[in-house]
Amino acid sequence: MATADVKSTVPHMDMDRGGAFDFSNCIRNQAMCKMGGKAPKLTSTGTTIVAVAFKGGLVMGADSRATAGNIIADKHCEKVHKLTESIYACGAGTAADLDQVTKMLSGNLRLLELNTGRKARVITALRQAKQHLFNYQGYIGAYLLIGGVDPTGPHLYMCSANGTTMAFPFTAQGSGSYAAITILERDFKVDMTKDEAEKLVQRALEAGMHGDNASGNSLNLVIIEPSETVFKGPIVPEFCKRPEPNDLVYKFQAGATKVLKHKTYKYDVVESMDITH
Amino acid sequence: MWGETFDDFENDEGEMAMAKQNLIAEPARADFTFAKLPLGIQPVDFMKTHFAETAGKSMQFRKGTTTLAFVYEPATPADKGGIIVAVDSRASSGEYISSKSVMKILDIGDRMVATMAGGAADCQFWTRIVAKYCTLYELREKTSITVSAASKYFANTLYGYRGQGLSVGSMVAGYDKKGPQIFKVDSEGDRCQLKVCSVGSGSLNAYGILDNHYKPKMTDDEARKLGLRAIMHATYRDSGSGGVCNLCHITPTEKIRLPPMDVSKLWYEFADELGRDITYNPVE
Amino acid sequence: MSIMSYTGGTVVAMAGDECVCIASDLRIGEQMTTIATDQKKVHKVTDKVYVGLAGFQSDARTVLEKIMFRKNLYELRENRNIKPQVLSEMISNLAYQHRFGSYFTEPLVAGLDDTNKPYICCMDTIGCVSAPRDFVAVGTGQEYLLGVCENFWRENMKPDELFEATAQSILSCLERDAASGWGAVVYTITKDKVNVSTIKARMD
Repeated sequence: MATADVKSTVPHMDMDRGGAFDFSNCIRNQAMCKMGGKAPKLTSTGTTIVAVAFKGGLVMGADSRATAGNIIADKHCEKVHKLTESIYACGAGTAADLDQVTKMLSGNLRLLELNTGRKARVITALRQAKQHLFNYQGYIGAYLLIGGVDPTGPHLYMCSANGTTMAFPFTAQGSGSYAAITILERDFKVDMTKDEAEKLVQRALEAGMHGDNASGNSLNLVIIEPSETVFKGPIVPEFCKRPEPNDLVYKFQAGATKVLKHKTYKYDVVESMDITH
Repeated sequence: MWGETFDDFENDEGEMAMAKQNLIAEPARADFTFAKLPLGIQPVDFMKTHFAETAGKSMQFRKGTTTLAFVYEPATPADKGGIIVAVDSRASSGEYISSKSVMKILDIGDRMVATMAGGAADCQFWTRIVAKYCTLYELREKTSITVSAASKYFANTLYGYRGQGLSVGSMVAGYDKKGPQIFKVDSEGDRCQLKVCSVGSGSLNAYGILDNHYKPKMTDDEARKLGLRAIMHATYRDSGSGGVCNLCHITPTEKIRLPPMDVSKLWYEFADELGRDITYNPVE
Repeated sequence: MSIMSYTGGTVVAMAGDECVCIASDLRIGEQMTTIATDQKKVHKVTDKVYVGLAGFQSDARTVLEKIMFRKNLYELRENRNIKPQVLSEMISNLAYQHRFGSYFTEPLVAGLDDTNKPYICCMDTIGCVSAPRDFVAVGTGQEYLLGVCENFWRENMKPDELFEATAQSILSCLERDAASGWGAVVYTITKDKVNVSTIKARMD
């Protein structure tokens, strides 16, 4: 079949339902659960996310641990999502939902910027997020902090999974937010300098990572100002480091594992170069 | 009266006899009591809430087993005959293998053993109680207890706790004046005498081998091999069983515990014996 | 019993220096009973990209077909081999489409991209990608593997060493996981070839 034929056939195939959710397994899964099967554990960010506004800008930060039940599913997961050059979102809740929602937002905002020829506003990002989440009545487990700087100044919003939104000068979210918010409540001042705000966010994150089992490993910061956006991380706090450096080396000599059968498949090497930058 | 011993009575024969009568009595079935649950809480429901699969692996009881025992007669005068008891050694909670080296053949006196299937703690505890009963019985009656009596005491005890969530599947096997005997006892209160018997999650697999190869008359070597083979095949099919095979041979004169055999090694030996290539063929 | 451990099975992948290793056990069961011992959970997607599917094997089979369908369309449309990064994004989207009625399988991608840089990642059932630089594991033995790999993995391992580390990791895991085992198969992917080995494991 020629490539052109394939291209013309593809849209007619029921391939991805236009990117919408597919509920075809729902009834089966409910039946399986009724038979006594337990649903699998989902990866949750189990997070500490913090954001603070300062004079003329915004600092946002997150830890980097993702958990599935009691196990650490990812030690360096990226929870500070870029929406546009100057709008970022930190997420808490179900990890897959956060990845997909922020991916959708960044796509939509980029299209908007290209269509209008101007920078997207934070309130636009927020409205898109809340409308999407409200549509799904909280079933999409994404709790977002959306913040950034646009021509109307710095803004920080919280968007809950059910679509509730609020504006804040400073806030924290996720399972470690209780510890983090205490630091913010104590030390937040209006119109701080960039340095002060950055230090405060880091302290608040460290409090969350220290006090909450589901947060930790390392932290990422983003400092958004009208002129530039700086990303810092991963920063590993002292208490998150492995107590002793791992100089215990398990080295297996070749042939240590008993191989019963073995086959080699060779293939043609195609030389290519990195064109990602 | 505190700390009364028989020495206190040594002057008076009559008093001594009386004291013995009073102090050495048949131990009552419930001569100990468990802490009771608060009023209105059913033991079974309590167990389900706290120790069922939903409770996480650390709260689940250890279970999953294959145990078997059979009686055979010597095929040649050189053989001893008697009972072969063979068990695996895995303890699992859900999919987690909590131990690879559990001894599931528990001693009751010199001539008798009990096997362990079901809740590990339940089996160990109640076997200990039975062993105590047997020892006291032998001291009191100056004769060794029959397998039948010991197993009946065991079954009666378990029947007393029927429906309260105990999980025991045991075989009491031994040699007594009536010959080699095996009794299967379980927490439902069942007790029955069998010549060939298997208990546990892998028991059906073990029966498959036993029923195929068991003969009433065997040489000692044949019998031991049959025990190993049945356990090996059961551990292969049943993910709840595994580890090593512990084997105990009870002859008319003695109880021989054989060294543990790795079932995985036995499987590879079996594969060689078959002479057929059963190793997975790696593909792209 | 969880649906995820109904059939049992474990997949692990480790990244090395211009090579990756992906290994799976060979058991398929029906809860406690072992049905067959020749069920590999690792599948070839392209020469240098492999995907592992742990969890409920009926769903794994369905998902594999869907993956291959999308990958074939991609290759026809783009006229080039799919990169592991792209494949994982594709699988993630596929899994997320079934967010509210998911397939009970956890996918894992391991491969080399066109510059022979190793790439490994794993997902949960609804496609949350986690792509660390060292090792990933999915399936019933995940917890045991994560623990043991933490010590067995080292920076820049060569293919030989990587094979041993991966093989020993999965063997250690099989010692404690009753739902996986009965043999294991290890794929070592290097820039010009892939080595497939059945390794000796416990059969109980």
